[in-house]
Amino acid sequence: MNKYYLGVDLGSTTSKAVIINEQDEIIGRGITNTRANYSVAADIAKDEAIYNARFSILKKKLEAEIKSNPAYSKYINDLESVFQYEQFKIRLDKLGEELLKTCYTFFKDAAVQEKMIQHLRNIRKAFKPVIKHEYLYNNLGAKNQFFRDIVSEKYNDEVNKLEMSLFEPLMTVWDKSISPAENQLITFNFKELVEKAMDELREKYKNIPDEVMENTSVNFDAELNLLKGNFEKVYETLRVHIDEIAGLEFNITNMTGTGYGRALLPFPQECIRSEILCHAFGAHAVFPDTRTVLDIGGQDTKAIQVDRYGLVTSFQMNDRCAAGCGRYLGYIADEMSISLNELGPMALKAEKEVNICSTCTVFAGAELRELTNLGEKREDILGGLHKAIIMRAMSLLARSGGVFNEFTFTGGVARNPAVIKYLSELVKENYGDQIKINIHIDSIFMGALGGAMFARRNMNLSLPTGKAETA
Amino acid sequence: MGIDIGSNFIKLVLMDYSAQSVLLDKQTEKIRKRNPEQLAEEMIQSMLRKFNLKYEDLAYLASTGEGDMLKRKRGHFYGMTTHAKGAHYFYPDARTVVDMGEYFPLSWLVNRRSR
Repeated sequence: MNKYYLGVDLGSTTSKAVIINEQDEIIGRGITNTRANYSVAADIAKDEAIYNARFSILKKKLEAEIKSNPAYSKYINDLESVFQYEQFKIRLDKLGEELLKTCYTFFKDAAVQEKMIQHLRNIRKAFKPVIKHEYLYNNLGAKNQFFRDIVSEKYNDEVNKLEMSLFEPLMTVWDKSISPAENQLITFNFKELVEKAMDELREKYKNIPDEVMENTSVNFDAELNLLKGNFEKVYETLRVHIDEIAGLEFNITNMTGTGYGRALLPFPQECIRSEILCHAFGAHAVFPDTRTVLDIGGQDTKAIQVDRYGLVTSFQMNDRCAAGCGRYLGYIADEMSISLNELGPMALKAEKEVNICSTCTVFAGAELRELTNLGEKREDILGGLHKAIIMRAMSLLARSGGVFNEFTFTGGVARNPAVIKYLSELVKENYGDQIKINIHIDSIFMGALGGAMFARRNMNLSLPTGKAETA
Repeated sequence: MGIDIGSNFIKLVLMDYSAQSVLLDKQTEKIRKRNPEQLAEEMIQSMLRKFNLKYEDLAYLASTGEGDMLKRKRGHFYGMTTHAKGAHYFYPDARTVVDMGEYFPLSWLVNRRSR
């Protein structure tokens, strides 16, 4: 039987889980937002990783077919996306129950109760088809893809359309309901959901020609027709394989927990490891020549030096304040009422970097308003903010010993293109052109990957003594 | 009418000064993620509707806080002045005012005329 190993990285903003096989290959990734109940967050990330592992095994099984018919790969991706929608529907029902419960306890008057419940029904009716469409056609885009973010955005939009006096009560009902709904652990039946998803996809491909009539070129139309025909052809084959992967049992041989909330994970003591060790180990596994690792997470920034085995020789970490970390960017995005993922692309458009004087997250928010009022462009202010983050990271890097070839950047913030731009500039400027900078598409999963790899090796490591090893 | 646009809440008060000052009505709204300028305008309108008034019927629309973003207003005042005035309205003998806002706690001394 195959042996699998799990690493869970419980961060301050997101919880990540990675499953690897005995060859240290990642076969499943799961991510969710961290919530009040840490163990639920960890379990959801783990479940997601297992679902993802099933799909990646499906892809592996169909490798030959995918090579001869690339459309297969699209079908599997579509299937995974619709499968997520099926999960989403169940979560939405649970949230609906919570909203009703809150309505009954929060509003004492029966007439008000009825009125609010009617509004809630209308809101749900309005956004459900929109979200379905986004999932089915992969339109969720660059926005955050967690349940809470998706629903709260739509809910907000709908409530905003109603009259002002309804805004506060409806938002209060939301606030009181979302957390209990989010903290429930729902066990999904993989087989049932994936079958529903298959039916849903079949419908989608059947209806394709009607959908594209008016707005697409003839070429595209023909391509879609082809997709439609193909799907019917592969449907049966896919079904057989899906039955197989749904029946697979995932025996997690060993696991490791890491991250900000690791002490709260329901893992035995020997299965908990510091995220500094895990990030370094994960980054080193993906890029074996790595000597310096920079990890910018939600609340902390770490500059780590590793030896050629991926073990930590020295590190520096920010203290006290989250300014210059992911949460800082999240706060700024909130201030500007844009989503976190739009922040980086916007900052890339900066023509200059406005100097940001505040060293505090909250005050930087106030400074941002002031600068906007003074007529500075949002792009330029954001450019300054991003550069400020990297300046802080550079000083941590310097204190940890400098930057050595190769240099790997991990953590959630490594997804931000503007951060990458300023980082590359400043590393080149300070440490020369010879440094190779690695940024992996899975940079956010590095900690969880490192954890899973520790789990496989079952290594007993102690923290370094703080003195850098002389190579 | 007075409107105070804070970083979290918008506060609005309507007063009648014809004979002696009477506080007619007040309203607060949490901004959450709404556009404060738009929300403030909506609040002014709904308050006017409630009293069957038009914008032109207002003798003075005063703003404070971040109220200088409002397009239609007669005057904008600093938070320190307006907080002192408001405190003085309710407690004429007060000589020290403390304001705990979202970002800054402020305290100041005032004289008999709330200066």
